[in-house]
Amino acid sequence: MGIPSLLVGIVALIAALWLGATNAEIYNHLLHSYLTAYCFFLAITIGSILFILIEYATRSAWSVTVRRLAEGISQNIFLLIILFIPILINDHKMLGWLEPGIVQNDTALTLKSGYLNPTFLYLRLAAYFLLFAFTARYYHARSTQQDITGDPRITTHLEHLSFPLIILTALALTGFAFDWIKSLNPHWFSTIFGVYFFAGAMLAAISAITLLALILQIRSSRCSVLSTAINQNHYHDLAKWIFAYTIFWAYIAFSQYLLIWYANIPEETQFYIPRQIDIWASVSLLLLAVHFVIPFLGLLARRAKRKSTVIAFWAIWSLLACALDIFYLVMPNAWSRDISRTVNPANPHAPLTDSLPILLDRHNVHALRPEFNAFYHQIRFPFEPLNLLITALCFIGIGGLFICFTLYSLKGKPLVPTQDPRLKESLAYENA
Amino acid sequence: MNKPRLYGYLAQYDSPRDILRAAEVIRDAGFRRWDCLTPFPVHGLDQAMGLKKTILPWLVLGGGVLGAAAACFLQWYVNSPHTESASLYVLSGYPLIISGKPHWSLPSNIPVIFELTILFASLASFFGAWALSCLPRLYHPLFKVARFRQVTDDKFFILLEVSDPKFDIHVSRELLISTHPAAIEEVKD
Repeated sequence: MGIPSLLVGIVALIAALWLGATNAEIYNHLLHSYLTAYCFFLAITIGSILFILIEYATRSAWSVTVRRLAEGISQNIFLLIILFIPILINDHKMLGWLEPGIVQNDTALTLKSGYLNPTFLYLRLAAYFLLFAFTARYYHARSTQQDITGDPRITTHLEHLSFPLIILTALALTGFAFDWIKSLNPHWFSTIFGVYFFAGAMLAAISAITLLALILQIRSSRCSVLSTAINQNHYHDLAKWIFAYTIFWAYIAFSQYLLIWYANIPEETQFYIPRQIDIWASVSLLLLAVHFVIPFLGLLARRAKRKSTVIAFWAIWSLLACALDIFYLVMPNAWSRDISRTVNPANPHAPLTDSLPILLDRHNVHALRPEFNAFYHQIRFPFEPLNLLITALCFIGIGGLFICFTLYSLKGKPLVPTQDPRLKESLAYENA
Repeated sequence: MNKPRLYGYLAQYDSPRDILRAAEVIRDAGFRRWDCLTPFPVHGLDQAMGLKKTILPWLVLGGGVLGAAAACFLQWYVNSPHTESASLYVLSGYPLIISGKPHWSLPSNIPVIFELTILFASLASFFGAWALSCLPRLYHPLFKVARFRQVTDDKFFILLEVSDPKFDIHVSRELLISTHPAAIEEVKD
């Protein structure tokens, strides 16, 4: 499965580049699609790192049999560091505040420049990646070392290390979400945004771990270690995690929405305004349904959480919901930038709340509705077949490399930490 | 004073494994009114006793839905406009404009809906568990059995009640003895 997915991934990325490099508008779309797909797979990777850390910190026994799979997924951070290069090269096209001319003429951005400035941005980025890479590598290396030596002190050592690392990783995750997703819209304020991204990341990571376990179990022979090590009781707990983070995401998303809705301050509401226009409003409602309402009802029953086909369905569903969530966070920025560029090519980074009324006035219409046909077609929503194809190709591209690299990381090592002091307890685990 | 009547047989076991095996025997004999009493939850005992799935989750779901409905009604009612008509007077509420928001708006209603859903669901879960376990119960014949005090320490017990239709003074005693209990005792009420 490794080599085919690698080839599919490379072909998809080349195809996306070939389709996307035709003009500036499509290229803008390609960049944001790439960032969307990138953030989705980074979310899975960091979520897996946090999962490992949390399991060590809580000294949990049930998760020992699935921990090696999480370690395998977390190794993708090395792949993702390389895949960040295209974003780094094109960052000024997405992060408007990187252009000094724009910051100087903007009071809010000048005041924010203590944090939002290029030097600090790249320093932070290096720190995040160093921390993620160190944590992923160190925990995997020590755990596989324990397979050979059987030294229980390794577990104790990793437990002690996990406490500070949870805090640092959570801060780095928040920082990454602030720098590379939130600052696409640099005028916006939301302190809860890091937690929002965390909730989605954990959901995506647990879903990916669950799915990987199910796939490996189907493909592995009956007598292999993995086929008996992860049973219904472990899947039940993984499904509980999926359920918990489905609710947690909704809780955080609503907490963010409620305060912004209630205060009704332009700096804050300007995040939701583009997302409540026409097709984007449907996307927002769709997100609410697929990320919370439907999986909440589907995973509520105990029986649903104990059946592997049902769990597999909801794991795939949750992964798609997380992808839609990141799409919803990133893509409206590209879209509103297109509108701002149409209004004033000199300042494409102006907020949509400034540029859209001008555009409406110019065309003598009072709302962005399909009735105003001629005008409506000028506003190109990123839901044209070509745009959707490019977005899909970015997901398939990075996803292909991601799957290949995950399998490569798991190769040649036991899929279950064979010498973990809590393995016996994990194997006998029963979910009352 | 009434003469003490036989309430049931109490069999004592020394390990979870023994009580699991014994429970399977009693279950297969078709008894309904009997129970296992253990110092801690024993894995697999539910299956060994042949217990049916509890209906508690449905009670909790019902409580949650009721809470959500109650919250919707409450907020709709207190925010409903004032009516001049005397017959509809009972329907008028206290519509207050707060921070320029509409009287009925889902974002501001959700926190109350959420809280009442949780409250009603947890109350249903708490009192449902009590009701399904026939609690509170201030007296039980087992309280008079000295041996039974060890149930909070390290001994496991099976109580077979006389009220079970399958109960027979001699046959049931033989059945219990066949499960090799550490001790067997008559419980008088």
